[in-house]
Amino acid sequence: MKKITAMLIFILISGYLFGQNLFLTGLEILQRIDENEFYRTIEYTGTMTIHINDEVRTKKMTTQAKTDGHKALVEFNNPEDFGTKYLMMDDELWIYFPGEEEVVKISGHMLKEGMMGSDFSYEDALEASKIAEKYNVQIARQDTLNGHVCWVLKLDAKIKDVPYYSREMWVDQELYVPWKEEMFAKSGRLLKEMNVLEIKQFGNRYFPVKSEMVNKLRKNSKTVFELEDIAFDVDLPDDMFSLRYLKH
Amino acid sequence: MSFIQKFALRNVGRNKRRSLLAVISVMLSIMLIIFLQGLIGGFLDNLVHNYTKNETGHIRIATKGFEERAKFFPVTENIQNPEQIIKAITDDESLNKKIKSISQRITFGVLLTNDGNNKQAVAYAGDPEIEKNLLMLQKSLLPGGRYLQNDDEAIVGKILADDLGYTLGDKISVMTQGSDYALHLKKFTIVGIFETGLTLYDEKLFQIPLEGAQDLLRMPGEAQQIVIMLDNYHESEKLAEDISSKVAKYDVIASAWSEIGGYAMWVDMAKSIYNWIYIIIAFLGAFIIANILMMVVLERRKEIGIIKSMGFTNGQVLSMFVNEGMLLGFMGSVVGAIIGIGIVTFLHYHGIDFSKMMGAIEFPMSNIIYLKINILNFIIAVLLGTIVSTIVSFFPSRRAEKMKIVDSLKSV
Repeated sequence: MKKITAMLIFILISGYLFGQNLFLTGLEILQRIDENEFYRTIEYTGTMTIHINDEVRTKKMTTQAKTDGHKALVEFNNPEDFGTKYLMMDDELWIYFPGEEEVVKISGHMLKEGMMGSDFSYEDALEASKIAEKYNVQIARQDTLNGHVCWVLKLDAKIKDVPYYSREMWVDQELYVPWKEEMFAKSGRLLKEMNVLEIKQFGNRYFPVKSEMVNKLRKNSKTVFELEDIAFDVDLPDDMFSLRYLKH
Repeated sequence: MSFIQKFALRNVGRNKRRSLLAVISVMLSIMLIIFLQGLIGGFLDNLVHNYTKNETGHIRIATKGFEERAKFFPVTENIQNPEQIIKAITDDESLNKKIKSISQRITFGVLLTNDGNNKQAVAYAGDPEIEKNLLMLQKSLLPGGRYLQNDDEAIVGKILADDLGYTLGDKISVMTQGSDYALHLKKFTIVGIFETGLTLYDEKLFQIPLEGAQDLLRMPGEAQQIVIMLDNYHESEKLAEDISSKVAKYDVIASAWSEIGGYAMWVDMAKSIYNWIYIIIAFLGAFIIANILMMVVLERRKEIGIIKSMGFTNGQVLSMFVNEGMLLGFMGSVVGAIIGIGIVTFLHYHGIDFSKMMGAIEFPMSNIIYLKINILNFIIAVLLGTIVSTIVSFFPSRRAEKMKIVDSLKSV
């Protein structure tokens, strides 16, 4: 009888701790992802290949970004968009249109539009590194994806103002990098699916350098985003992230 | 004319006040029906005319993808070779002779901003010369403004301009999602401000040339729709089928105005409602005639007894009263139809000004409605009035027929 009681107490306590651990682990995993992908500054050359039906459009850009203040400056240099610039600061986004020499602040429903017509929305670009603040996270299950053992994290919005009501994230248990993410509407409808196609090691960090986004609300559409010439923690002047510089 | 008909005619003339009352009742009913038909016909024609020239054309050619999402004005489902399609249609003489105009058009939603004020608006882009006969916004330009001449010019609705603080010569920055799904911006100079009196257009609409829109939306040489106006819009469905088969190889479909958009359904619904209104008015008219004839029979019991005692058969009594009803109905119908057509004809040329009512209505309806003349309605109304009067006079006439001579003569 004593043995049975002790066993029951052990099961209950371990179950409780396991449950606590699950919740903490979910947050911890997100923090580990942040640490892995964290940078003071980053500079890279990017290529967005947008596939819509049989058409393929390529957008090339150079990007400088700073984690402090969540600032980013993107300048497109493919011929049809040459000189178009995006400036992101916190939750705000401005676009510079070189043809009209005009800067326009993008807000409201416009933020849901595809960035340069891609499957990545402006909201996707703006909300980076803020996931833990906006979502409750828990480990849903384990799964193997393309040979990688992953935790599947279930993220549910804890605030109203989020682009996706819930998400599922397949996080590599060794590298702490998400290989796949699905974004859902409140109705449960799958809105987008992102797959990381390539991860590279930079010192101690593992960083996704090629990913694919599929907007499920569009017919026959996907965007492959590839990063090259990546440099972490380079010195970037503060005035680079300003409206004055944008019009420069 | 049989002696019974002569008898009926004499009876009608004998009691002028009673006959006049019956004739006036029929006349008013028929007049009201003809007036309502003219007014409703004018309303519906005006609605169809405005709706088709501004929205869909009598026939709209577009891609299947566009038609599936037409209410969102998509600019990502476009016609790749509109010029070839137009040529294929106009080269067909049997089609071309029925077409009043054929043109490319792009309609798309935008968010206009000026000094912190935002307003949703709809851009209409087409060939400015052809749009002169479709949108006709040049007719409503306020003094000082002019119509479109260059690709980077726009004319704007007055309420829209007022709300955003635009004046003539200002540049509006139009930002929208292009055919490549990316956001694009282009400035257009306001060369004219129009006031149609139609809130829907004055508040939401601005017109730009097709080339300007193609440049903004990154769709060079493409069109979102091809709009066809016909000489006779009643041929829309048939010609849409012919055109569809002609242009099928271009991956586009041609749809008649009645098959697309919400208004066509509304027009159909309105027509059925109005038909019920006509029936109710006709029923009321018939009810009045029946009542009057019933009074006539009851008043003339003495006379019925006398003519029956003189040898009139039941059938002849019935026939006499039915003939009287028919005569009264015919006279009332003819007079009512003549007066009704007169009123409709006058208002067909002068119109009724509904501007006080229309201001708040979000419908493509003009402020002045010109009534529709339809000679067929005149003939139908005369027949309807006569037939209904004849039918309803049958029941009181049966009562007269069945009267016993003794009972009739009691009232002497």
